[in-house]
Amino acid sequence: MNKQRLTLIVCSLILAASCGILLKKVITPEDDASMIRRMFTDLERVAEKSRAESVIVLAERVKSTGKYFSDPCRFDIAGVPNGKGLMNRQQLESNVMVLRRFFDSLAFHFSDFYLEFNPEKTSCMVFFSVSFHGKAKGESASLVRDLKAKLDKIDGKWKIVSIAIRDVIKK
Amino acid sequence: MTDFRKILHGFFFPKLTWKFFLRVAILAFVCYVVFRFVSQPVFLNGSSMEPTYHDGSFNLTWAPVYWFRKPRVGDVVALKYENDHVMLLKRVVALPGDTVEFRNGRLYVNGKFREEPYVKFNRGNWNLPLRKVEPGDIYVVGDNRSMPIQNQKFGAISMRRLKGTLLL
Repeated sequence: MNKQRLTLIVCSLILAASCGILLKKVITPEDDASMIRRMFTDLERVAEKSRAESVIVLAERVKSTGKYFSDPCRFDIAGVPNGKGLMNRQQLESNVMVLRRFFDSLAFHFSDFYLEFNPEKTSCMVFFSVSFHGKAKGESASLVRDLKAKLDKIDGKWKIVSIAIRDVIKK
Repeated sequence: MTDFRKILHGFFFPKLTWKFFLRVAILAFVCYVVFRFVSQPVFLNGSSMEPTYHDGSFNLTWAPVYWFRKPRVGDVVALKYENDHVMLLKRVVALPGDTVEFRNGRLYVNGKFREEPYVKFNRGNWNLPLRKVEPGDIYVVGDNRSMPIQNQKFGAISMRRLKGTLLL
């Protein structure tokens, strides 16, 4: 077998495998686990702030962020101002607005997902890590936390019903 | 030019052919897989594992050991703590279903005193009420018991966080 033919076979195999993977992604409906992961990726994108934003952009981002949470949503995040308690949509959006106004730039990254569904697949506990990087008045702040969130499927969409810091290690 | 000088020249100033780039790509891929999934370099920060492992020392994790078996009592394990970049280094003292208790600095597992030859420093006056290790968890503690109990991170942690043992 000459070199050219071998190259052609290898390239054809790679192309066929790529097409197969792409086709599988297109025809297979998205499962709940992928939907939840995508939801967090979307939330990352919506919550990001890379430069000063106009009032319109701010309002749009605040509204978009609120859509990922149920109304009301329970927070239990110690060490964050207004990070504890049951919050309705309005309170949540107002807190998001304060956060976005305070920071010149901010970015969240969610990782290390572990999902536990109830048998009916209407509710899911999501265990994950969040890393936060923000800049305010020239000073940087970074934070990494492990969180657990309860998500419910509401009108076909997964929404965060409660979110809390979790102990990674318990004495 | 001698052969050695030719090799040296070829190493530092390689011809930028497609074969060279392919080699670099394969090397980068192999390095990524090895250092991400098999053996991660770590710098130890903290004295909770003294004198077995010293603060500021360098080591490598070794994941394959737990691809084929579960952790055992006495194993020193690296556990993912915050993201992939911060790990805990501790010793496994109890497994799922076991009960753990500290009385005057002595460890009791399932109600029996556990000899711990790796604890070299003076045992502090650690006291911790009895607790059971949940399924899927392991109970880990550092070797340095001379520090106050509240200053050491130890306890039950999910086995999903296991990144391996240490190589060196």
